[in-house]
Amino acid sequence: MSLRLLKYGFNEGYAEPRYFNTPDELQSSYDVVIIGAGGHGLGCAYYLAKEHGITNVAILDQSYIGGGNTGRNTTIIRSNYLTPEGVKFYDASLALFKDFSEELEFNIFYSERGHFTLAHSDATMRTSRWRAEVNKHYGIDSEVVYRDDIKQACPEIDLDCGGNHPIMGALYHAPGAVARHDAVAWAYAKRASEYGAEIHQRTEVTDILTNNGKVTGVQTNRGVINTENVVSAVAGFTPRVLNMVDLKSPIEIFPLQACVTEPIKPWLDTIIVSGSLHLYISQSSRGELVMGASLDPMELHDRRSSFEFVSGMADQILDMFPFLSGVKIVRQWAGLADMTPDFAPVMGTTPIDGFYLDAGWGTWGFKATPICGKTMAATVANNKDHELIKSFNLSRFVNYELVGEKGAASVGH
Amino acid sequence: MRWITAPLLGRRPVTEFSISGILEPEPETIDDREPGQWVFDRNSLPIVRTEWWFHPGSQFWFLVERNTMTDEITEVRLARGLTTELDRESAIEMDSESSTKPANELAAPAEAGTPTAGGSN
Repeated sequence: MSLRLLKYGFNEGYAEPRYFNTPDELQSSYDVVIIGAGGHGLGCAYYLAKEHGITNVAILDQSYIGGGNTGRNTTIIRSNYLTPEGVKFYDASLALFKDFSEELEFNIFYSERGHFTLAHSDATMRTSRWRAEVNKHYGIDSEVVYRDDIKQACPEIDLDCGGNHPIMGALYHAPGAVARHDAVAWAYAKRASEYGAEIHQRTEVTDILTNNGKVTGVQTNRGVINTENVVSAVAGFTPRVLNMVDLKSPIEIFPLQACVTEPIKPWLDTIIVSGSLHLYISQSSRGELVMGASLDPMELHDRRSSFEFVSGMADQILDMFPFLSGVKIVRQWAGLADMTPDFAPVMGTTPIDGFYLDAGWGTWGFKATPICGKTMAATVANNKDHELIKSFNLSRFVNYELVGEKGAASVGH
Repeated sequence: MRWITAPLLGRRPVTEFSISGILEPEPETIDDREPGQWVFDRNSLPIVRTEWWFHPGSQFWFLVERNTMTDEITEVRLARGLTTELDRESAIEMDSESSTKPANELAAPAEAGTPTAGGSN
């Protein structure tokens, strides 16, 4: 290291710029308190400031920003869902993702790869055709492709999967993409903070204070904050937050695990997903294979990793890509997925006035980050569900108006 | 691999079991709740709870007491013969001995003439 560089490093005038402000003290009141500083919460703060002029906002996180499911997903972005509600919602998200780097002046390495959802049976082919038709109807680039097309896009694949589960075709979604997930949280944090929102890390909410069915404040490990609006964007911790306001929901928490291999030469430029084999795989720009499987079979509130996951997943991936047998897995981790019975989120207003919910993001939350921020901000600003999320309200379960989204990943259906 | 020790089976890998949710008594009445709430609402908080575990290889059902925060399993009991209403009631009574709630709050009354849930074996 040259002396000049060292001098430069120690000169406070050239200190590394911080992405966001870190105020020492909590204020006694805010217009809006957002619980959870992941992509969804920070995105909500950004849009509250940008589109609704609400800047007296605190984002609280019991840990650090983007340390929950924002930093634990496999970064896949797509909009080829099954229900009209889902398709419209996720396509609006994809559009925001495409312009993200430019709008926020922050490179999230958005990379369109094309996304194959493999079908190994007649039943899955039928669902693929159904999905393709719904997608096309809403103007989304989505089509059913066959074995030759898959082989052409990914010559390394064993189309017969070792003879065990021959691939019949796939749903192909050209706009399917991957992006740097941490950067999404950092970009929103940076811009929200520039507008005046305060990010308080290691600030745990221990209770939500209500009076006559209205939110009056939150109790944290650093004191009480007065506020009339609370947004909960806490994914796997949703039941614990709902318990603070005596609300129940159909949400159940299951761990979802993922892993990466050592970096290898680039060979996979698409995203391959198989619902039947419970598998998804893509190659990161560093050459690591990012892989995930299905949910763990039992409810659990801990992010432990398990050998059962990694051995089960390796078993399936070697059927599809036998040449990976010598490649080593270097890291595995888990996130807490807040699952709903209809695989659609739970968003918007709740029976508690001033308490807004952004939850039920199970295994499908990252791709919805920008549109969640935008629609939740509009919902909070107007105290009325945004048009795009009306069908995702918590009341749909009592009213038997389930969404039935079967285009979700890593769940058996 | 994680192993659990179950009655009659001995030490088995955890992947052999399929887990079917919490042992929960049916309420005496649902009048005070919306039917939709009874069908869908869950109380997914970190607790110690008893779950139904099925072992397909042997066709045995087990009642497993597990902590959903630490994943620690504290008890594995055979659930054989617990599939009728009456047996379920006694299972719940057995289960409630260690809890604070009285049995009559937990157990659903078996109505005369109601077909039993599942067959007895």
